[in-house]
Amino acid sequence: MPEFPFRSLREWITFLKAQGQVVENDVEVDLHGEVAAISRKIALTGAPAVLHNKIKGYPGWRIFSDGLTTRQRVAWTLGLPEDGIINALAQKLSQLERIKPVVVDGGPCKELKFFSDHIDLTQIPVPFTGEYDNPPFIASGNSNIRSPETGWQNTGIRRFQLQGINRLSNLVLPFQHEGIIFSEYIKKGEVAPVAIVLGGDPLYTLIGMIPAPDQVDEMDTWGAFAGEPLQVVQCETSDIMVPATAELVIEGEMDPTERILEGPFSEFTGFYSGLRYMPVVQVKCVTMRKDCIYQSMYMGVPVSEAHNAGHMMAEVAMLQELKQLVPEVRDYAVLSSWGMTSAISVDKEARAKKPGLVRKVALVAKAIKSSTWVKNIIIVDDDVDPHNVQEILWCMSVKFQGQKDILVIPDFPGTMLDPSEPYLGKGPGITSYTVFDCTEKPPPYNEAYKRGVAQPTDAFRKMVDEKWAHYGF
Amino acid sequence: MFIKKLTMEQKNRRALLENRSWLHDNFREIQEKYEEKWVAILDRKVVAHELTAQKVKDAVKERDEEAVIMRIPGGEIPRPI
Repeated sequence: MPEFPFRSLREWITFLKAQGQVVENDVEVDLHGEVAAISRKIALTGAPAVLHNKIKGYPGWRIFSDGLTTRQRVAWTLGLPEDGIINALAQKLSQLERIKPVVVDGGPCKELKFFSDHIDLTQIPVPFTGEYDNPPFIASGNSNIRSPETGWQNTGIRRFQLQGINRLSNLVLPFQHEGIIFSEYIKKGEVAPVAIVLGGDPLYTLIGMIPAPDQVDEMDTWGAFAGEPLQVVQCETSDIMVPATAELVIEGEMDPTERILEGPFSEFTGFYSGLRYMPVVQVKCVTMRKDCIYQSMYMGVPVSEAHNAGHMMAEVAMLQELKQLVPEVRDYAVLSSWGMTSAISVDKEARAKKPGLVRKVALVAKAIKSSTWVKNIIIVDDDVDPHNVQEILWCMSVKFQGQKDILVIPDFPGTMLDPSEPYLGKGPGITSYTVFDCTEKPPPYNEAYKRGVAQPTDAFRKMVDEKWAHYGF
Repeated sequence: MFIKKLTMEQKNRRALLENRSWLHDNFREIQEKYEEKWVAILDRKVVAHELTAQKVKDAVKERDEEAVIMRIPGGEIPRPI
């Protein structure tokens, strides 16, 4: 039985099966929405992951999805307990001893190799998500690019729209690491080699979502979590390294000047993205396992596997950065859309002693590096769980007055992917930054709070938890 | 896994990619004619254009092939990098 660290997607599937967390589906599924609709329902219901064994029009292929759709499954991936995982993960990331990957001679991802005229991306079962993202997108791939200046290899989850039998578009954003490295190639006027990895082990998928410091190779972070080096192989057409156990690797080059229409895409905001001119990946080589499993990741209206995993990684990155600057911060919760709306809890006692702490937290929360997409922040005391939407709405109802507890600052950096962006997504993206102070207020506004929260005692609630089954529930 | 004889679904996907490529190559002209309308593209031409997605879908629903259906935006298309 495989245990953490899982060294391939297949080890992960075997482990999940043993936990009753994978459904093997033998009913033929259609790529035109059925695969995506199943994923959506899994996310809405917290159902097990799924391995589809029959894909209409794609004999021999299987599709796996939703391995990271629940917090429990992400916790297993990281080798951490589910309770308190965000703080535990933030602490772990702050103490990482990164381990460089080790290059091995070969691996399952090299079982089949296709070059030049033998490449045909239409034979890979890429599912549609929304009705209008046609052609569909590879939405679960970790893109790898190496800096021509420093040799730094960046790994990040991205999306790639099919554009031809050997062409993809790549959503490269200038402020992200891939964009920064690609800009180095643009300055030199050289093509940028890239490698897109599909069906890596689950930790490899997750590290592509963690915002890492500049010049840090995410594969070193894999080693830090796993306690051993990631086994990698060199690409066929470049010096980029990829996990040896991956299901599928697409190698290509991005021309510094060529752009192609990209979109619409079923975006994380829940709306289709607009059209943009994006770099083209001219595919040079495809390597894969003989019985390749395509890893699918649904994106669109929240909730989804991508939202769950992405939100957790964003929470960790922001909590880690924020706590370094404001130690009174206790927890960070992404409530929606990759942090566009988030909640922060602060030390209630410290906040009472330090007037202005809420505003300090709020401004630092927008100043940190990983907060680009944050636009609405709800701040609560640490006797409230910021991950619990019901508790947050309760605080907003009984501890918040818009006249004095709201702060709106216009024209902060935001994201062009926000459908409400004031310049309609035609620039890099700006946003109003809005802070909702939902903490208990100082005198004279605290009279009601002095009377206490009306509920049974902690002792009785704990006793009821313990006796719950005995009552017949 | 890559097979020599394509399935119907794979042939349809190839056609979809060819129509998408045609859209890219002719986008300025298409934008001038159909700005802010929904279009359906098949056989490398616009075969339907309407104000709503549903009407465009209705216009091509009898066709076996998979059309590129999209709303043509107005104005400059951003190029972030």
